[in-house]
Amino acid sequence: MTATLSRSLQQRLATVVGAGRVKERRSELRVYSSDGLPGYDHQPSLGVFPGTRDELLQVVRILAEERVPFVPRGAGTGLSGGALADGVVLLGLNRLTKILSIDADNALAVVEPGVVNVQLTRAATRHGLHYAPDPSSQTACTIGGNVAENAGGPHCLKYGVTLNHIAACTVILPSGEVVSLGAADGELAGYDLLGAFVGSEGCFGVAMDVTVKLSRNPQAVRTLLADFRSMDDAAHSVSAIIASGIVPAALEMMDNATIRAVEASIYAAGYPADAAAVLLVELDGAHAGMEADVATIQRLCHEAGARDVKVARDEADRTRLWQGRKKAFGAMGRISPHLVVQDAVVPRTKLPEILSTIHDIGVRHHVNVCNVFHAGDGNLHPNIGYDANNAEESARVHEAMREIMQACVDAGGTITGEHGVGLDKLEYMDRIFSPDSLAAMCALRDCFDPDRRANPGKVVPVHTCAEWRGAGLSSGVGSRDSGLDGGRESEHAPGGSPLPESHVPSSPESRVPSSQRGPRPSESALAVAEAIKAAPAPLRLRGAGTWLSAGRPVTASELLDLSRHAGIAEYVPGDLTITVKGGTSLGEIARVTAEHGQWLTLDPCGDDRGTIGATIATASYGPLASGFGTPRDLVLGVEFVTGTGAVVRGGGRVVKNVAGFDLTRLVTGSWGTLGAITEVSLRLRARPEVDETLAIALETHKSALQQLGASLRALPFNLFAAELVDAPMAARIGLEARAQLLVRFGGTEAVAGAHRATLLAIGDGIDLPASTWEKLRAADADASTIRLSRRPSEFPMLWRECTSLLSETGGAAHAQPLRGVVRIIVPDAVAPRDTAWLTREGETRQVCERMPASWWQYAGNPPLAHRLPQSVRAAFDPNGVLNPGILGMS
Amino acid sequence: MSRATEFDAILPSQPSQESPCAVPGTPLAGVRAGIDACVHCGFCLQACPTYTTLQDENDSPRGRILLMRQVYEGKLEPGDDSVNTHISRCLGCRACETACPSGVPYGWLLEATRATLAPHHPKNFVATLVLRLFGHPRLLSIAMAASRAFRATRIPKLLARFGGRIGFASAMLASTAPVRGRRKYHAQGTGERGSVAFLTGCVMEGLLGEANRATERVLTVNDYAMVKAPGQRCCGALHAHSGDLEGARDLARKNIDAFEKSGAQYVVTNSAGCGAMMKEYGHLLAEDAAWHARAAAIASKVRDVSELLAAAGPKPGAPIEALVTYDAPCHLLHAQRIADPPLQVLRAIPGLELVPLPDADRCCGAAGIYSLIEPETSNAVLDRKLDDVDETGATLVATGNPGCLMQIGAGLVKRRGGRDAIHPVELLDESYAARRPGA
Repeated sequence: MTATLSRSLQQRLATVVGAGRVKERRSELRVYSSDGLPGYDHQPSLGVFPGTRDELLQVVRILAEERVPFVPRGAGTGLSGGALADGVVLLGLNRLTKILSIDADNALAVVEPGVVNVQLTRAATRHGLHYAPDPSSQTACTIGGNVAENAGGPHCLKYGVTLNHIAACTVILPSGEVVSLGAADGELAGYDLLGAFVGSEGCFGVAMDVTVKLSRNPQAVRTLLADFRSMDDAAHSVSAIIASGIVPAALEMMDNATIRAVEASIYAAGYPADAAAVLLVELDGAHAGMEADVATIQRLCHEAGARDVKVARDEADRTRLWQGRKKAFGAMGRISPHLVVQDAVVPRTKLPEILSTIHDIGVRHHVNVCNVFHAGDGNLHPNIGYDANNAEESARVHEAMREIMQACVDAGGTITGEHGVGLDKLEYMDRIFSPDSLAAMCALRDCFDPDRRANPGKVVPVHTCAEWRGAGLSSGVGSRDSGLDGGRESEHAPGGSPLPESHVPSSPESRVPSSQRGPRPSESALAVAEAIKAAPAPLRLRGAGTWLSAGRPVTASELLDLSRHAGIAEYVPGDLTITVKGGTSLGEIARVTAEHGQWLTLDPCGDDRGTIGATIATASYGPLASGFGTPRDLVLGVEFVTGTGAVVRGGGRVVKNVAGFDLTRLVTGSWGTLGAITEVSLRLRARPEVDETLAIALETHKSALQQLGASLRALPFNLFAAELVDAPMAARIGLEARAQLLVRFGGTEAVAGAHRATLLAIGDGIDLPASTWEKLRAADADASTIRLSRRPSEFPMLWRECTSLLSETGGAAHAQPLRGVVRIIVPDAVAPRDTAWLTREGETRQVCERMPASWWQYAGNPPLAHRLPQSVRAAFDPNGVLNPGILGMS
Repeated sequence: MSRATEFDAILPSQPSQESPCAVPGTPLAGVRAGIDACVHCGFCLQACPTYTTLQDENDSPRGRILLMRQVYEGKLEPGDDSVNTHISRCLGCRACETACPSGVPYGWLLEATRATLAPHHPKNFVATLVLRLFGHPRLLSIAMAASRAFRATRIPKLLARFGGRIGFASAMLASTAPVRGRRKYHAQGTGERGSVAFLTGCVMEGLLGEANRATERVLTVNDYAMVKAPGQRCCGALHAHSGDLEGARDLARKNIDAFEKSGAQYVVTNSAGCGAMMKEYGHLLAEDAAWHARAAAIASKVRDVSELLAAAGPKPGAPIEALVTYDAPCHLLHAQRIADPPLQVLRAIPGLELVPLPDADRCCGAAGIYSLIEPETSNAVLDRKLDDVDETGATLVATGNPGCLMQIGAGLVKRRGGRDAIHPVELLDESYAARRPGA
């Protein structure tokens, strides 16, 4: 940055935020030279700290006009060096601390990015709500930072990571343009760009506001502390607990070194100082069954060799146990002045093995590894304390870390579960992603930030972006003639000439031929890639072919049959994950997993002949979505082949993964327009002992429905499914022809009995066979189906709207009151002019699944009009080869 | 375990290989291990009243520790204005210490840094004046007498309606007038709980003498034997916090001498700031071979009045109907880690309704003479405290430190909401007085 540019930029920024909020003195910028880890020394050239959203917008626009790279920073508690701004502008978001609104009925809150995680929970407490993702730094870290990193935390084992708790974001793109991603008031058609944005580590823009989903406080909580004589025993306990089917709210492990550091601190929790390891296990949910689960956990721990298992006596005791765990990282300062923290994830059955490997690596390099981690997720945090001023020790520590990381990757894991790649893990990215996958991530980033000004030099290694210009995706929008991920303005000069080679920042890794790195593509993917490359004309992707009439008409003459690529690629029941080829049928997955008492909680409308690839591609779901979420919540990783024949992988096979940009969410629901899915990794659940279905009779006038919604939301347990059917739908599936609520629930015998009693308080019920759900899923054959949605609190209005509409057109409806979604099934015979209602403006959102071709010109999901989705499409399928037209664009 | 031994216990077992110290021979040079204990986790940020008020990392504990490190390593000059600004702006409330998992002895680092920076920066006129005054007992007692005389004119109460420093200082003075009429009584006790010498303190004795008399009475009632400790002086806290470590050490030596001579089992104070200072005399005189052991011995005898009372029960008194909230003085809660004893004192009073104060652990902005030197920041911090007090609806705010009593008291005077600040011991004393109508 030249001195003149710097001064004029500084003046422009100061007029927006005030002179005191633009920092340019070296002595005031020093404090930003590191984030949540000491030992970094990357100083920004300028710091700007807007105090309002309006100021923020103006600041980003000035930075865009001046074409200056910048790094967003929240509280600076990140553990991957993601918020370091080396010689560029630091954009501080810590002053944007307003909670803008809390909608208690729908359990939503809108917050500014600088709101501290725990402050949100504090504000929600009076409504009986909390914000579930709870990174250990929650007393300091911000929601904006959590979104950027897709942060996790102990309770993500049961409740999911940040991604699962963000409904929408208003994002300022690095260009200064404001876009809304996601929606809090219903479902959206089109690419899941919100899913791509969450976890993009500040590279895709800055969230101006975030709409988060809040969670109801559990009726009962029990916290257990188990102590062990060996790490191995503790690790085996973890495996046993996971395999038991009980899903603890949290399952954390700490080793002896960590225990001692914590016990010496102000957060001393009463952990036994002589234990080789302790497990902190938390159970939450309904009172019913709680004590039985506590007893089971105690038994499993004892069987694995626990010396003692105690249950927290009261809230104060519980808080103390948790404070110790959550502050453990900070307590490491007692051991040594500097610290490296890793964040690898391994399949859960590999925990005992990997912990022993890590121990051996530590011994070999004479370094002390402390382990404090999310055992239930297999998310390890090996910490090594050292002295950065000792070059020899530093070298040993970093070599040990590299070996640990490789061991985790070799075990089938990933390099980061929740901390992000940032700067810290860049060097490991090509151990888990192929050059084509990294190139695809670069391409996605360029859709959001073509100038690569936002958080330059992070997440994806520079050399892969450079190479990608010559790789498979090169004809996409990502193809650029200037600018590399360097991080200095001079390299980002607009329209400037390409850099001389000597200016390209290089790392040792960049000299390694990339063809030797990353996982190999599957055979299926290679075959599909060949087929795509050889195709003479655009292709219609086909799975089982059961849903080909869905979506807008496709203008492709050739068919690409993906159903041939079927079969289980990897299934280790103890990990509760499965990896299957894209053409595998849902029925096959159900059969294989049932043998081990597990299931994939995905039951899209249609039947079990449907393939998993098509299910993911269309983001289809069924009744189980009320209880377990939609495909985006269940998919761990995908392999797909782009329109240029590049084989790309997103995510991985483990349950927690924030390595790289989220191609998995991007492809989920993209209707094949970004790639043909050849392999999918999924999260499984243990099948409940008892799985029951009740039909509950009810009135459907407005106040009755309001009451119903309130009753369902207040349930202290998770229903598997809650589906309201209207009278015609009830008749179709063989029930008495009147509106009724179908609920699916279960657990152990005792728990199911308690739940049944609670449910029968809502209304009279009769038992139904499980086959009722198959009938419901199949009840839409040969008709048009459209999903209409609003905020759940507005469900009564929506239901009335839909039923009055259907009384004119004929048809049937079923709905998920908890999600605020009604699915209507309209006979195709309805004349197009009678579908005028589809196009009306209003509060209701609609997603058209399947309609006669002639209807789409009158109605239906808006084509992907915005530049952003269009550029994404162009980046992954520049020639429009895959399913052209299905989303309304070629 | 005393704070001093705790500090020794938490130091990193393998201190950093000394990168060369750029400021050898300064107090900062001696605290490298304390700086190294910070792993930059940021858990202190939200505990820090200046960070949450000013929203600047330079005004956070983590940021200030990094500034200290930079000065230590020579990457920033001790004469740097902005370093001095941010180090000066710290309230010294030490709330970061009770948030820090790594046990960074922040208060000590701050004192060492201020002492190291002081010679490079012009002295603050007000601060210099105040410190001089507190160092001279005779001058101080004249000043205090004059203040009391001025207070009696009720002019301060009128001036308190004005803004600015004069207005606030007048409000502070006005707030020190006794808030509740009470009957004197003859305190009696067995003395069997041990002998106690009382550090009467400068401001407490000068402006809040009623609280001191109350302290003597309630200790007596609770069976402590009060003994005299002539020759005692200012505890030195204000000097140490402002970077005048030598001034603090001079005063500490005089006090050690006086309290040794008293032969008392305990040294008691009703001022949280004084107590925190005296408990750290061992650290303050760590480098003074002749005095270190004596300093540590006296430090180990120091108790806050609430500690002694809590150990004794305390004995219950007669009912007082009042809605009271408690604000924890930082130097009691964060520096001395005393949380419950003052509440036990208040709970010993039947009829008194204790309502929790939101964020009672957050500083009120008084911080010794901070409110005189950094009035803007101090006021911003105070405003949040007063809002929280308003929310409780309490008519009395109990807090056991002169700075807090005057800061919150002044704020309450200015808000004119009919609320007052009071030392918890005074309420217990009132309760005892009511119990003995005939005495």
